[in-house]
Amino acid sequence: MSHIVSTLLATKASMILLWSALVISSLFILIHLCGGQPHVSALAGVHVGSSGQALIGFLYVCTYLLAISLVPILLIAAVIMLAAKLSGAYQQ
Amino acid sequence: MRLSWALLIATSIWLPNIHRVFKVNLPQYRQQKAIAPKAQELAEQHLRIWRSTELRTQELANMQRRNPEWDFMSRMYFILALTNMAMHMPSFKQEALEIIDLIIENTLTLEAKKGHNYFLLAYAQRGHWAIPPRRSHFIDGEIAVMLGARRFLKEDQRYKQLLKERVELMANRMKKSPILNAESYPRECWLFCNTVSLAAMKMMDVLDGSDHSDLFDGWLKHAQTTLYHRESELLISTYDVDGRPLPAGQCPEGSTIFMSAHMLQIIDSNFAKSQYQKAKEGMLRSFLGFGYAKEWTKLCTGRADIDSGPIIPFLNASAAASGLAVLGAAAFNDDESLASLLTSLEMIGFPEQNEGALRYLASNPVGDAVLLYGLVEGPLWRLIQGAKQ
Repeated sequence: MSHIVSTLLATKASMILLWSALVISSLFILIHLCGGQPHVSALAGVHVGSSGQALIGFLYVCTYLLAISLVPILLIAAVIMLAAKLSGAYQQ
Repeated sequence: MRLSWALLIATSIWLPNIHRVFKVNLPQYRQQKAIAPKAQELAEQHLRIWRSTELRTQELANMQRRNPEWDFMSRMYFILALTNMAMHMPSFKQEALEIIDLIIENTLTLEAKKGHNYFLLAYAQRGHWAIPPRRSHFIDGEIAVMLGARRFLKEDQRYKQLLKERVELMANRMKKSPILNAESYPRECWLFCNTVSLAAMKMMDVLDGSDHSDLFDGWLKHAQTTLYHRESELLISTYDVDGRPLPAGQCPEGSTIFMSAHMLQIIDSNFAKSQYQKAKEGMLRSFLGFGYAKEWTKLCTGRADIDSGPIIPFLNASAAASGLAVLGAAAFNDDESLASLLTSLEMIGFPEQNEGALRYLASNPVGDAVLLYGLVEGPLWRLIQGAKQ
């Protein structure tokens, strides 16, 4: 396990991927906590409220889409990079 | 391994499979001979709105502020849904009738107190109506459908008279147009409203033994010539009383054609089916397993308006067209398209469940009412179609 962690830490690209996933997820959680979800109807053009609320709703939808589409890709890519690194180390 | 390769592999693993996370089990949403659990939950949300004066006032005022048509249309769709639900489940009939009567009385009172234009956009006050009297086919048609649907559950002599009056008004106005179409706004006929009106007349024919078949035949004849978009073989959306397409309606539109095809099912089922099939070919799309409807076919692109809602770039997806496509897919038993559209709804509709009630945060009460009607639709139209034979 410690070998995996140390390899992970040593893999700069994997770290970048994981950090990117973390940043996107954190942004989504932040907008969720700020109350963005009730304003997602802005996307369908049926939102009732201020333009500021509509903007938060729109940002919520954008970060949500990034969170469900991009974050898993970043995580899978990080695992692939890690696996390649471990495989390379094992062969050596 | 290179980072770009890892990202490419990860993308090819995740994106084709993302729809599996949101994949729906169709019987949870729609069943042919029963009310599906999700439909029941959606209905509960609407029943709460109409049971609570406070919630009703708030929700209807919200829609009135944004678009008075939505307030009005949500009433028709919910009454159609309740009628079908009561036909699916007779034990629900009494409660359905109470809510339906409440909606009808509230609607008629508002129309009487605040005027026939109360549920119309402001531009109804301006401009010259070509066909007297100055009335909207949108208002008359949908109120007539509400009255007709209610009477299929239980006869009511007052509603019988009110339906007769509305239908006579509508038929007389339509006959004054060279193409048998009446205006919803000054010099603005809508396919949506005219097909709803035809459906209301058909309801009356079945209920009362009247006969509007000449009007139906004449309307279809004109529609298949004057209102036909040659390339797409679909009916256009909005036109003047002589059939000339208006700038906003030169193209067939997803936010109109799926509903109109459904209304035409009880007028001419073969033509209705062919319109749905053409609309499906031209407007229904799937991306990574998520279904959506475009507002226009690639053969004719119009401009976005309040009916189409915002158009999502690149995909050209429209929330309004997609919502009404759910109704179309359900009505024409297109389970594959329905499941695909509902998968998208689960992904981007932001469903919120609260003590047995379901609503979609990305939608509003009219969007949810359309969806609910699509999920329970069936018995009423089958009854009318059966009576026709």
